[in-house]
Amino acid sequence: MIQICEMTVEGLPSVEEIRSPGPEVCAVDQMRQVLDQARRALCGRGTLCRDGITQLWRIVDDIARGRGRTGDIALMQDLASVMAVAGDCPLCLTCAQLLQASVECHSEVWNGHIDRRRCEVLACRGCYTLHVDPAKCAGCTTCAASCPVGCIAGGQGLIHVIDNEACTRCGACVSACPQQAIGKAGAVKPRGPEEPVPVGSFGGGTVRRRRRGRGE
Amino acid sequence: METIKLTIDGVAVEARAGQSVLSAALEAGIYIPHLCSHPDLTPEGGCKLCVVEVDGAHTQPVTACTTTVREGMQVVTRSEGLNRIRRTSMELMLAGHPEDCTSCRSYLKCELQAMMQYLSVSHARMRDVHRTATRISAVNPLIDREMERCIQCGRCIRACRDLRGVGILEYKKQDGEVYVGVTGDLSLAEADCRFCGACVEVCPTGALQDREGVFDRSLPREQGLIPCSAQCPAHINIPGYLEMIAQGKYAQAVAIIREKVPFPLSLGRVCTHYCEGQCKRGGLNSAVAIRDLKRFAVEHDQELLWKKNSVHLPATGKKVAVVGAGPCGLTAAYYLAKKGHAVTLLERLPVAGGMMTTGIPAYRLPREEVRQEVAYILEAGVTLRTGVNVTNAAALLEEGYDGVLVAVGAAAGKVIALEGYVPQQCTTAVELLRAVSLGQDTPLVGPGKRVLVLGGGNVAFDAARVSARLGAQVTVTCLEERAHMLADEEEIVQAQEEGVTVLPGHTNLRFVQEDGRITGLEVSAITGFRFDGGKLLVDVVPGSQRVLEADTIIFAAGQKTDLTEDFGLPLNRFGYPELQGRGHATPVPGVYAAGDVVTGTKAVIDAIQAGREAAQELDAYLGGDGNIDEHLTDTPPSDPCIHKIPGFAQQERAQPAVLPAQARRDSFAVVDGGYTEEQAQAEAARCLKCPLRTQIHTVKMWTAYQK
Repeated sequence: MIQICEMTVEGLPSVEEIRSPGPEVCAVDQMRQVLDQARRALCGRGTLCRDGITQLWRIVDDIARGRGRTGDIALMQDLASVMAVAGDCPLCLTCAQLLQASVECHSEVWNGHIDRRRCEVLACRGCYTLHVDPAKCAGCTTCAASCPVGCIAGGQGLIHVIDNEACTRCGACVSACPQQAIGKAGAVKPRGPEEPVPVGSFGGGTVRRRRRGRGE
Repeated sequence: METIKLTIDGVAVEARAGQSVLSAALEAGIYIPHLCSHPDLTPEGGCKLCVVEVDGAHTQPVTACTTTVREGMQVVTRSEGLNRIRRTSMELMLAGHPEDCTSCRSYLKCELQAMMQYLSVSHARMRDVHRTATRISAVNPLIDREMERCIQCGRCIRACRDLRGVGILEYKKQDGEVYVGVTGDLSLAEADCRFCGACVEVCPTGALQDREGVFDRSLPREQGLIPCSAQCPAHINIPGYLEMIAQGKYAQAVAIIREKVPFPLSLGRVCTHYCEGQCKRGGLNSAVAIRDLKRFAVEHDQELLWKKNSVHLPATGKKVAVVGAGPCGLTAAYYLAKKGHAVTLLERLPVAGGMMTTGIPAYRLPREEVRQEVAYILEAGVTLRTGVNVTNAAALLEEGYDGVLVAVGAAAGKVIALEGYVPQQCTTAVELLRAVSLGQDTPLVGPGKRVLVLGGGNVAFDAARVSARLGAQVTVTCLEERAHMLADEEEIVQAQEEGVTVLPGHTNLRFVQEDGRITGLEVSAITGFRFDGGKLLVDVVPGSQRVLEADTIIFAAGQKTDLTEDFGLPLNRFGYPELQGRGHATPVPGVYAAGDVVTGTKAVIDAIQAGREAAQELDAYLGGDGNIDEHLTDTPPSDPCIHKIPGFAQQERAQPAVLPAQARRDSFAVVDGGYTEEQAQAEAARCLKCPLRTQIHTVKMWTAYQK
């Protein structure tokens, strides 16, 4: 470190907490939060700190959004090693150390995100989709009204349907739904209507389902 | 000063105690890449390009800009590890910087671009960082802030804070994004920026730029950065004397002006002030009133410091004749006399001063003031002989003069002989102005006369306003439309206030006659005009002909010389003396010509500068060193720490007290009452202090170093 300022941030996890994040914590999401907190706190005077932390955050954020690239891990490690040697302050040194520890201890998690968009705990936006449980939805339209990008189709008394192509995974609908009917899904997607249908008309045999290979 | 010995890359280097490793290396010709450090700014160590290894490669690298030299220090500037740090830092800076260099105004002048080449770094590896805070405080006068090009090195912040004591630039944050912003995200003017340009000067990229047209980039940097002085023909140190005025040191101010011109008061009255046209403050709100301040300084100079410090060299025994006692001849005579030559000034009219006493009206330039400045010139040892009409300049050499300067001006008014021209009812502006100045009768201009002035320049308005004062009913007509008239705006406005009718955008067709007398001029409105090979072409508005009634016509269509071949000098086809090369020497050895007689009608300041140049050449011809520069006052260097002044950018130009129109019309009393002391000091303090910027060093790029 070639220190030019004293910046530190309270509340960042320790290296130990990075190594053993706990069962419901994703290493990538954890690192994304660390870097976001750091970039909001840094003073901006040093290049390696300011642009280094911003760059790491951009890469980790991309990975969390399912836009990771092959070579990202090596790039981050390289960047972090330079920051560790020549960084500007305790803050960027800490960020570099935490990132190195995370990538080292959880390489499967990181590679799963980059190669297969896989987040075991469904914490990273690029690794899950949001779905309305047709059995719980009351057709109240609250979720559609809460959506900032307008990607939820439905209407009074209809089971709502989320367009996951347009969805940004902001989670506004999840917390808005009075029925707790909206949840995340990873590789296995739950069944639901493709278009809004009246509440109560999906499932329970009321909707006819076509099954492949069986003629009617 | 204690000398420190160290080695850099195995080369023994001597440095001063307290010097940084970076500066020691650069002075020794050893290049260490650097971006955020600047020779005039406090080092920060932020960019990490100047990393070096000290006393063994296994230690932690340090930044050379923040590391002080130590006796016996061993510095390594190149290694794989250092290169990795430098390249990574550069890549990070480039991630947020546009890739297209060629569209940037700093292309090929950019330190970042040079550094990309030096380190062979591209944009490729890192994620592009698109910034959103770049539009904050972006629109400003004088300074273009294209913050998407900013690499946040902080030089501008340190320059504004540490060099200038202004401190309105700072690192700011918006939604986790760092940007270099203005205090409170205000515009520069609202934040009380002093518009000194230090931030632009130190910016290593194209992020901070001078607005196009503020400075003349064709001039050398030291001149181009001070537009007022660069534009002044005599290159008077204008910011220098404005600062003295602001401090109430009027004697010093006058001494600074007198280092270049012997007519500060006359110029303070009537100078065409090319300087104000280029004043950088004009791009902010309004130019500093340089001319009016010059006058104020002279009027309030109690000490005449310039006189005490003026140098007069011992007699050389050489005799010089200067023909024509206008501003050019008087100036040349003054400097030649101070160089020790015996100067005789020969003037055709009964008074010295040229157009300053027999052209420009007394209400603009009081005769007593010119007389005082001429008296100072005579005090320097110049002999003035008035009423002497020199008919042959070359013959003066045979009368015992070693050198001759012809500075007879362009005193003959041009006449346009339109159809119906009657010489008895026509005169020229110069003739009228000369007659009035010499107290002669003016039968053509007086109470009850309807006077028509043809022309739209300052001379036309002098003739018009003089005619109005003589009781005539005056109309001025010219080709140019109102917005493009050649006269100073204040001349036009004041003339109108005094009852002069102004009819711009008209062409003259013919004089209307009755019984062999002119009764009017037929004119026609035009939409435009141009000159094709010297021939005037006008675009007439069809059906717009009208007759302007007139008893007297005054031509103010320019002046020419009245020299003939008998004057002993070869003339060109326009009647002006031929000159050799770029100087003022005529083909007749020892005879020089300068001023309006060479250039045609120009301003007083142009004539003075021509007089200076001719004096230098003549002095050299007579065996002197040709150097007429004077050092008339010692002023301490301007304090670069200018601090913030609340409301600085909004300060408007001070308006001098002007005599009411009716009082003006009834007399030849001086129109412009000048400034109060309070007004003058405040006006002088509006100066943006452009020269401060030349004190800032330019950064040498890596190509300038051997190693």
